[in-house]
Order: sequence, then structure tokens, then C-alpha cells
Amino acid sequence: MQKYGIGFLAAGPVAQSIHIPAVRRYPQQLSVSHIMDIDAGLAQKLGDLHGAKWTTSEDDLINDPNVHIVVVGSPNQHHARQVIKACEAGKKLVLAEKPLATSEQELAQIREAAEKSGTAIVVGAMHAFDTAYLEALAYWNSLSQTADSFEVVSYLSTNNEFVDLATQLLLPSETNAPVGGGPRPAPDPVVKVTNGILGLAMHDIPLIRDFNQAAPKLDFVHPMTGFGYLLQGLIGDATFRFIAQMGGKWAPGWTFRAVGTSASFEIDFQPSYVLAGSAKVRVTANGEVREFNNQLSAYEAEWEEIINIVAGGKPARYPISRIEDDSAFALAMIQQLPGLMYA
Amino acid sequence: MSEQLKVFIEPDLGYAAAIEAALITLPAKYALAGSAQEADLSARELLPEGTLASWTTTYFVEDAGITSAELAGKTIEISIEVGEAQHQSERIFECDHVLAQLGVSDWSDWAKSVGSNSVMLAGYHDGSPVTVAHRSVAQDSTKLFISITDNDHRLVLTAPLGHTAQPVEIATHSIAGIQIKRPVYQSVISRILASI
Repeated sequence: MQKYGIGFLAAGPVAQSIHIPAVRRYPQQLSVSHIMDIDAGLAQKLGDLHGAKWTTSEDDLINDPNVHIVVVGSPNQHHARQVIKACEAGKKLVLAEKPLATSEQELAQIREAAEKSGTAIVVGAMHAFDTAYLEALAYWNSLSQTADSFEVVSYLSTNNEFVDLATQLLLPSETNAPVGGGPRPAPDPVVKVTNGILGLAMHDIPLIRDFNQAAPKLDFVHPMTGFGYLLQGLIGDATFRFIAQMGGKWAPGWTFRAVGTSASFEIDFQPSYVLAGSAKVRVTANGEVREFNNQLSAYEAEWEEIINIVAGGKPARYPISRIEDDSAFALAMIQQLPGLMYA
Repeated sequence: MSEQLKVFIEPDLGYAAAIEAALITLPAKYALAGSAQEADLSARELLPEGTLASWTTTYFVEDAGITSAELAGKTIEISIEVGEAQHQSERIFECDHVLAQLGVSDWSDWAKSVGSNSVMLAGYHDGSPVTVAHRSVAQDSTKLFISITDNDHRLVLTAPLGHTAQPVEIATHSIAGIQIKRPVYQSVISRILASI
């Protein structure tokens, strides 16, 4: 059985607490081969820990022939460039953390590069790979029900809390500490909500689009204090709202609901970072309730999908055209933000 | 023998089944009248203005001790999920009454999203973003949900909007965990009728 080497572009919490633990669940098929980070100390520590090469150069990693799968976990502005480079280097697959791209132009360039090289693209919107969700969705689709209203509500603690629960995080080198003292200026509200959509809402946009493929029309936007947002609008003739508030001391909750006049589809997700089994899904229709839940986390399911693509030759569940459409939904909301930001 | 008040429930009254179910739990006080002529008064006359959702909101405000100060600087999330198709004007009427009972009286400049079987409102009250969803759902899934949140606490009401005495639950989420008040197995309408 061929083993596929994985190269990680960025060695931060996403690589350490999400992907590497998930990858190590599949030692027969996958290995951590190469770690890149601009922080040499961190790249070396993480590389040494997993018996992998390390570098501070993205080109070194992308041109390493022992890297078959590239995980792009760098800051958003680097995603498109790195994905395209990995495609051009002929990699079998790129797992790009969301957002895949920050503009339609970047999306088109990625599509062109992926189609030319035959590189499969997977976006790390983990909820879309949750096996309980996918099983429940198949059941829902067999019912011929429709949903008239959608909401995604996430009341979450800080990422740091979940990272600490998920792994023993290797910290950046002191020499790599941010330059400059004093408080940072408050980010522009449009930038805040944009980051929220690309960083958090993006997890669930593919799910909404499994139910309704219309373009979004935003009617209300509010940036929460700290990290979060309240978005409200229409998708076709269905209402939707996204509520996200982060940093609270309460128990975390992350839910998705698609509600119709005779059926509902409700999900309780696990928090980010932890490998804590699947979501819990409840479908209610025609007076009957069905629940879906299993022990495979969405992150592990994401990697099983990757193994199926690279080793099994199976087509991606979400082809590049679908990824492009999901991303376009997010970008369409972002384009509407400036005209609505009156808070 | 105490005097029973004979009440006629108008067929066009919303939540008629809920009102009837509540009336028959108080037989010493009320009797159902078969017609307006036989009745001492109608259910519309007996009950305060509003809807089941707004009466439930009143209960929430009273039992959780919600004051205007506690609505400032929070995130307020409301879902009103009813078991029948409604005109948008009915949905707006019910949203208006729920908001009023909660202490939000002016939402005239709020954003409104009108879908085929739902309405959403969003705006600000005393520095708090407020979102209200009013939807039609399956008969057995009706509920009122209100969440008032800041970074330290979430105060949450979950109440059925059906005709049974399913428990109304008020919970406080904080660093200490989730504390649920002793649930009340009495319908909100029964509580009102008992207190009249």
C-alpha cells in the first residue's frame, strides 16, 4: 500500500491540534513528511517531533517529491498563491483551510490550475464532511421536504481553550513574537465581519447550499464585540441568519437548523479543534424523529475523504465547481457588507 | 359550590386548543360554553391582549426578573415557531408583542427579511443587537426560544407553544455550568387563567 506524504504550510494550532492528530489515525496510508513555517524554531520543533523535514520556505516544501498532499493552513492572504503553486507542482491533492480564496479572480485562477494539473482540492470546511450530517442529509433528501428558514448559531469559547484541550501546543519561538508594542487599532467593522464569514461562517455555507442554491441577499449585519457577527437575509424565498459570538464563559454551542412547515433538520456540532465524534443530527418529519450520531469526528472524516481520493481514485465529494460556488456565496455576502454596516 | 365562569372560545381565536386545554384544568373556576349566547364572556375578553408567545414572554420576564438594564449590551436572540401558516402581518403582530413584553418597544427602523413561511427582524435596543425569527414549523415542534447573552452569562428560555403542559424551562449558562430553574409543568395560559 502506498503511503502518502503530507506537507504542512504553517505549523500553528490548525496543523498541530486538528490535522496532525487526525492524520496519525491513518498510519498505513498517511505520514507527516514536511513542515513549513516562517518561524524556523517552530517548524523545526514540530518537524523533529514527527520525524519530518522542516523548512521556512514554501517552495522547498511544495517542490519536495515526497510530499503528495499539501495542507495550506497559512494566513488567508497566502491561500490562493500556495494552492496554485501546489497544483503547478503536480501534487495529488491540496487541503486548503477556509477560505480557499478571497476573491472571484483567485477562485478562477485556482480552478484553472487544478483542472490543468488534475490536482484534487479539498477545503477544510469540516462540517461538510461530517458523516452523521451526510447520512442525515441523504435521509432528508429521500423525504422530499423543503426548508423555508435557515440559521447557524455559534456561541463559542476562545479557540485557545479548545486548542489546549486538543493537544499540547508547541508555541512560536520568542524571536518570532509580533513586532511593535501597545494595543492594536480596532479593525474596521467590514474587515471584522469579512474575517468572520471567511473564517467561521464558511464552515456551514456548504450545508446551507445543500438545501438551497440561491444567492444570498443580506438585510442586516452587525459585528459582535470581540469576534463574531449577526447576519440576516434571504436565500431565494427562505430567511436565514448567522449568529456567532466568541469568547464567552458559557458552555459552547454550535447549531445548524433548516426548518420547514412540516419538517426540520437540526445539528449540534462539536466545537472546533477537538476530535470529539460526529455532530448530533436530528431530522423531524411526518411526526417521526430520526437521530444520527457516530464516533468519527468531522476532521477524521475529512481525512478519510482525502484517502479515498488519493488512494482510491474516487471523485471528490465536493468538486472544484461546487467549491467555487460555495466560495462565491461567501464572497457575495462580503460584497454586500459595506452598504449595510450602520452599527 | 363556587360559581364557574362560562367561557366561549371563539373558533377564529389563535391557540384555541391551548386555551381549551388550559380552561379544563381549572374546573372550579371555569366551564366551557358551547356558544357565545351561553357564555358569561369570551376567551378573547378573558385573556390579556397578545398571543401565546407574548404571554410566555411575560412569564419569562417575571420569573427570570428581567429588567431594562439587563437588556443593555447583550446579544438578544428570539425564535417564535408556530404550528400553522400565517400571514406576514400576523407574524409581525406576534413579533411586536413578544418584543414589547420583553421591553423592546421601538423597532420601527429595524431590518426585515420576509420569506415564504417566515419573517426575520433585526436591529438594536439599548446597544444590544436583537434578532427575531418567526417561522411556521411542524405542529409538534412549536416553541418560543429567547436567549440574552453577554460574555459571562446566557439567560435562555425554551418554551413549547402547543396546547399541553410541556415544561417551560429557564436556564442560566455561565462559567459555573448550566443552571436550570425548576421546570414548570403548567401551561402559560393555565397560569394566566389561574391568576385572574
